[in-house]
Amino acid sequence: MEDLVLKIENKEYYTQYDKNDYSNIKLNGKPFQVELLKKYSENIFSFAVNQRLLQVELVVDENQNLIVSYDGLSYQIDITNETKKMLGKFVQSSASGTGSSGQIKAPMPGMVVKILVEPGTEVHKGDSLLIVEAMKMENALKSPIRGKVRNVIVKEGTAVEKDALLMELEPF
Amino acid sequence: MFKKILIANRGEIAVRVMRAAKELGIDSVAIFHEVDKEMPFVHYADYAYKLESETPKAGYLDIQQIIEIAKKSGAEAIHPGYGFLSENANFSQACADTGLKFIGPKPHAIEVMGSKTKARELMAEAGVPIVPGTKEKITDIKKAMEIAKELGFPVLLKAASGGGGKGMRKVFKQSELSDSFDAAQRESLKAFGDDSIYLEKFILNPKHIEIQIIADEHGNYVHLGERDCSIQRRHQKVIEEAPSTVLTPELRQQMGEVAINAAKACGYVNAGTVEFLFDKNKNFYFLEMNTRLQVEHPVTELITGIDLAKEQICIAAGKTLSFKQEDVVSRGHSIECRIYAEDPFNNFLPDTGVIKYLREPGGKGVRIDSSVETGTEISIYFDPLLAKLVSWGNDRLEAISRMERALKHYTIKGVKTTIPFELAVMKHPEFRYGYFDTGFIENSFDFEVLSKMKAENDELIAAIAAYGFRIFRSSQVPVTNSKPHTSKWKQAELILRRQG
Repeated sequence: MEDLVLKIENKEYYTQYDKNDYSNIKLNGKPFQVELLKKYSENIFSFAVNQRLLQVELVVDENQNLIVSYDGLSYQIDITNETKKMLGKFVQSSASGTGSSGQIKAPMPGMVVKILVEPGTEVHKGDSLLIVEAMKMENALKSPIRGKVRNVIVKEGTAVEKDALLMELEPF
Repeated sequence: MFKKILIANRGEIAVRVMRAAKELGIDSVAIFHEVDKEMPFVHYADYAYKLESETPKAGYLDIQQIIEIAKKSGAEAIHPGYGFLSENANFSQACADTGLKFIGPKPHAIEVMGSKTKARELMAEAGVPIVPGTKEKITDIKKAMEIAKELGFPVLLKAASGGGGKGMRKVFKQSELSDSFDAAQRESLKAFGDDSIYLEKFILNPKHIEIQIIADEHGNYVHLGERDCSIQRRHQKVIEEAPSTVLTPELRQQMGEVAINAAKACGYVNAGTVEFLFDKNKNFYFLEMNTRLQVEHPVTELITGIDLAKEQICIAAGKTLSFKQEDVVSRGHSIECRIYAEDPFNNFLPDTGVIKYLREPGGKGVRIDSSVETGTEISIYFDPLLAKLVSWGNDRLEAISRMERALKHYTIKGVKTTIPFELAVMKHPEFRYGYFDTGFIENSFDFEVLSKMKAENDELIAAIAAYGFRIFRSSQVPVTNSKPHTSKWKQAELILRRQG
C-alpha cells in the first residue's frame, strides 16, 4: 500500500507502512505498532497502539471519509478516494520524473509542506523524502534510489514550479 | 399499599419509578406510543398498554385515554414522572374524580405554583423572600425611575400582561432606563395591548439553588437539603450536585425552613422542589416551585440515603413519612451529569440515530439511570436525555474523580453525546474549586478546551486511522455507512418539535 498523508483537525501525519507488516506504521517518521485486539460489534474495536488501549468506532461516511470516535470525541480523517486516486497517479509520475539520476524535481507546481530528511540521511528506494502540496492535496515524493541525501535545496513553505530541483541524492 | 400503579411517562424516569414499585412489591403498568415499543421502559414494566394518538407526544398528554387505561388495567394510582402531565392540575383532578390516587400534590398546589403571579403573591404573604420589585403596574417613566433608583441597578422591565420574553428589557445603567422603558412599553402594547410594566431587581448570574422538600398527608414536612444546579446550557440544567459549595449549615437550615413554609402555604403533599436564585452576597430569592419529582433527584438520594420515589408512593398510599427532620443526615457529595444526545461541538444541537453500542461504567459510587440500550433509536419526538450518570464520594473531589473515570468509560456509539463537554467541566478549575454560577458556560467555559482534548490523542488516532484504511481497503472488516446525514434545516426542525 502506498504511503498516505492523513489530516486530522488540521494536523498532518505522513504515514508509511511497513511492506511486510502493515501494523507497523510510521507517522511523520515515528514508529507505531497497531494491534486489533477485539471487535465488540460491527464498527467498534479495541486497539492497542504501542500497548496503549483505545476503544474506538470506525465508520466511513457518505463522502468516503473515515471517522474515528474515541472517548466521545469524533475525529474526521481527511483523505478521500479521489485523493487516493490522484495520489496513486502522482506517486507514479513522481517516480518517472526523477528517474534515477539522484535529482529530485517537482513533478508539478506546488508548495513544499514538509521535508522529512536532511543532508546526510541515508535513504532506501521508496523512502519518502518530502511532501509537496499541489491542488490542495499533499503528495509524498519518494526516493527513486538507495543512497544518501547530499543537498536539500528547498525549505518548508517554499512554492515551487514544475521541474524545480528540490533535493539531490548521492547513490551508494 | 397499592398492588398496581400506572406510570404516565416514558424513558429513564419511568424505569426509576418502576424500580421503586418493584422494591415495594407493586406491579407497574407502562403506557407507550408505537414509536417507543422497543424502549427499555416498556419492557421493564409488568404490564404495558399502547397509546393511540396522532403524534407520539400527544399520547402521553392524553388525560382521558390514560385514565381509561389505568381503569382497564386495574391500577390504583398513577405516577406522572416529570414533564408531560406531572404539573397539570387537571390531570391530578381527573385522577381524584375517578377514584385513582395521583402520586403527587393536590390540584390546588399545582395550580397556584404553576402561575407565576399567584405563586409570587402567595410566597410574599408566607414571608418567602422574592426578587424585590413592583406589585403595581407602571406606565409613567418618572415613577419607573423612582422605583429603579430604590431597587438599585441593574433592573429588569417586564410586560405586566406578558410572557415569552416580549416587552422584557435588562437595564444596567440609569441613563438607559428611559429608552428601555419606552421600548418595553411599545413592545408590550403591540404584543398584549397593554403598555404597563413591572420593575424587578435583575440578579446578574445568580447561582441556581433548590431545596428538596417532602410532605405526607398528615401534616409532616421535611426538607432534604439543597441541590446546586447552576451549570446550565440554554437555561436548562445539565450538571447538578449536592450539597452546594456555597451554603453554610446555618444558611441551609434557613433556606430549608423557608422552603417548608412555601410548601405549607399551598398545602403541599408529596415530593416537591423550591427553586431559588442565589446572589453573590448570599441573598436568596424564590424563583418557582416544581410540584413533582425532579430529574436531578438522585443526588439528594445519594447523600441522604432516602429513596424519594419509594417515599412518594408510600405517601400517596397514606403512610406517614418514615423519618423526621432530625433523622435526615447528609453524607458525602454527589454529582449528576445528564447525558444528552446533543453535539457539544455544535451549540448542543440535538442528535438522532440508533445506539449501535452501549457500555456503561460501574464500580463504587456510580449510579446510572438510563433510558436506552444497544439498538435503541433516539427519535426526533422527545427530549434527547439518554441517561443520568450520578457519582458519590466522601467529599466533592472524590465525587468529581469518580465522575471523570465513569464518563471516560461510558461508551455510547451511534449518536453524539454531551460526555466530552461534561468531562471538560470536571477538569475546569472554576468548577473544581466550586466557584461557578449560571453564567458558567457563557463566561467561564472555553469550548476550545474540547479541541485541545482532541489534540491530546491525535497521534494514536492517526495510527488507528492508518491501520483502519488498510483494513477498510482490503475489506477484512466490514465497515458500514454511518447514519444518514442530518441537514441544518432538519436539526432546526428537531429542536422546534421537541420544544413544542
